[in-house]
Amino acid sequence: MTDKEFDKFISSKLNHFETPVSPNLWDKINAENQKRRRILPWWQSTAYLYPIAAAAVLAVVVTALWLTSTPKSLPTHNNTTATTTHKQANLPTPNNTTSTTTPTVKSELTNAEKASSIDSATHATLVKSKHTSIQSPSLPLTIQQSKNHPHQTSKLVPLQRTKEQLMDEVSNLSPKHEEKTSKPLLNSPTAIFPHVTDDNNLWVALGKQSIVSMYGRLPEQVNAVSLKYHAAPIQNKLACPNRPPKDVFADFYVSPNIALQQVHSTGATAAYLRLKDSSEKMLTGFSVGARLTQAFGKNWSLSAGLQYTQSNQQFVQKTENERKTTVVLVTRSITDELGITTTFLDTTTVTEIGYRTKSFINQFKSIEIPITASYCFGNDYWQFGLHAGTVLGIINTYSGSTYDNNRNLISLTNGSVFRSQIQLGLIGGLGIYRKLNYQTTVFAEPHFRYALTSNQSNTLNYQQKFHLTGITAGIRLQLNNLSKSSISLQ
Amino acid sequence: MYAVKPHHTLTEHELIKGCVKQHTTCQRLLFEQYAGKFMTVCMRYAADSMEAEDMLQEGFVRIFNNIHQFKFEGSFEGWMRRIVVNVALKHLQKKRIQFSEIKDDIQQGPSVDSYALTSLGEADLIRLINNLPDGYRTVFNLSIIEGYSHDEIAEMLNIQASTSRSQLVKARKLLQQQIVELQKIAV
Repeated sequence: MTDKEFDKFISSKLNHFETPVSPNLWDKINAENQKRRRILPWWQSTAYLYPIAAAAVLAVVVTALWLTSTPKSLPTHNNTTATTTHKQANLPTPNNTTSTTTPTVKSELTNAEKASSIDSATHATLVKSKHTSIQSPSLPLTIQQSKNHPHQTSKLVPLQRTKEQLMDEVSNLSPKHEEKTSKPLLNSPTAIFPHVTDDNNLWVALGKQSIVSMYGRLPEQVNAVSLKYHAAPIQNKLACPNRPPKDVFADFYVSPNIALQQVHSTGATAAYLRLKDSSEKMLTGFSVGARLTQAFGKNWSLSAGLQYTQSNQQFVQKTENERKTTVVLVTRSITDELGITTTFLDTTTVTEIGYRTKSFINQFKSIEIPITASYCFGNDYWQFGLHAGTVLGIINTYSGSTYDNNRNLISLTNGSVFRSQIQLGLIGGLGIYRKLNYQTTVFAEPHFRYALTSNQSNTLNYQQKFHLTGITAGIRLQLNNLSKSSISLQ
Repeated sequence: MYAVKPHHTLTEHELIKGCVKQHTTCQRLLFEQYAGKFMTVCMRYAADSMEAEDMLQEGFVRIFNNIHQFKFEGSFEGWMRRIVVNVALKHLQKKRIQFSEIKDDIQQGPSVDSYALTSLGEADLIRLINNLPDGYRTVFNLSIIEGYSHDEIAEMLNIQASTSRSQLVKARKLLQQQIVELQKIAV
């Protein structure tokens, strides 16, 4: 018989041969299928899809509203009138406006410099001119004439100073001024642009001033957001040394979690709990989510969002699959007093048990709403804080297996074994926030979460809670004061 | 439940459609129709019947999970068989099988009497195949019974095609030798 014939024979003989299978195999396959149907559809099922979609749409709408809405008033708006009035009081008399044609420090503001430290910060960059425009080296721009000084305009003089220097000057300006003048003046950009009363124009001018100070010239094309970005740190300095109040942030974060399992017997035997303990081992889980944070004042903020949390558990089932008994022959010799030796043949048995282990990963998944309050302190770049709040588990699903009261393997199905109802937990921790730029902050929040409710129903004779600890790492984007429409370029 | 027609009158197409819709009855019919054949497939790759059942279970779960991807192009049985074989290979990969050469002194395979072959039962044949070293057995199964080419086998097992060829030659030779020896014992 050739190799080809041999191969053909083997193939034909085995291709259609059927080996009987064990009768309970279909039950196992069906059980696994049913389990999969219960596990997978949590994001396919419309019952879960609708609330998740609604929450996502809500989040998008809220974010869009924040981004597109024009602020009714900037932080300094309410102070404009008072500031302008105050400034007017400090302004020099028209008689002093003689040396205005050259961009020198000597100007009619010199008198004001003596009267107010504000002028000392602004005199280097602002010179009264008889022209009706503000000028930069490359791009002329016009700002609205002051109501108080309709015949006077301002002119930007390009000085090679960095933005930091400008901010320092503004920083230095504030405390000095605070000592001498009333507080509203501190919060007003009119301290720098005394004759500009329109809010938008004030910030445009402030932004351009910042860019010119930083780069020496104004680019030919500069968009409103860039202007706002450059104006904002100075605005922040003026409004609040640490953080502008009423800021709104969008936080996106992820957190690796370690779960601490707490089991409380409500009738389960010690042997059962030992078996459960030896079969289960918590693995690393994670949370991922997004939240909106609203600042209240300088230090306080409130956050609420939506997150997905998954706790993982390794479940090892050990079943006996082989028992081997070995008979051992033992020969014993006994010698009596007369010296006669008697030999006995004794037998004993040794039983070895072989175990088959099967490992599953149990997964406990939740869609949650975290609500936390935070207290933060620090400087412009580094903030540290404490946070505490509550976490509501609104959708809870489970997959995997565990032992029932009779120590048979059962799947973790909703309702029957584990709770699908709303679950509650408390969360608390620390926070470290590093500001990368005006808009973006990165943060890390070590936290501990205490579960108030058991994730297990009354079917089994124990209560089980998963307390979580981990470090949330994320990025924080400032949503307010970024709108293009909030600034109009002249 | 899939109660449009009595079970025995369901065509393969209808059976597949029912399984796509996750009808348990159709899934059970499919299982009953093919479990025996695929158990034979698994038996050829597994070390024992327990492992073969694990393979078969995982294979059917995968079939039911992915049956919606079947495009009704080509043989449905062939499509399912590929899934089962892939599951079996995945199990074998966990064991990290070695495709080592086994020294033998046989230059050419012994001549197998066709009578010896016909008198050999399928169960005995499976047992003989199972006695082959893992590497030989895997290549022999994939090549001779499943009909894969050496290039395909090389890709599936992440080995050289030449290794697959040499493993097949040696597997065939060893199997023929075992059949001859079995024949001698029987005589």
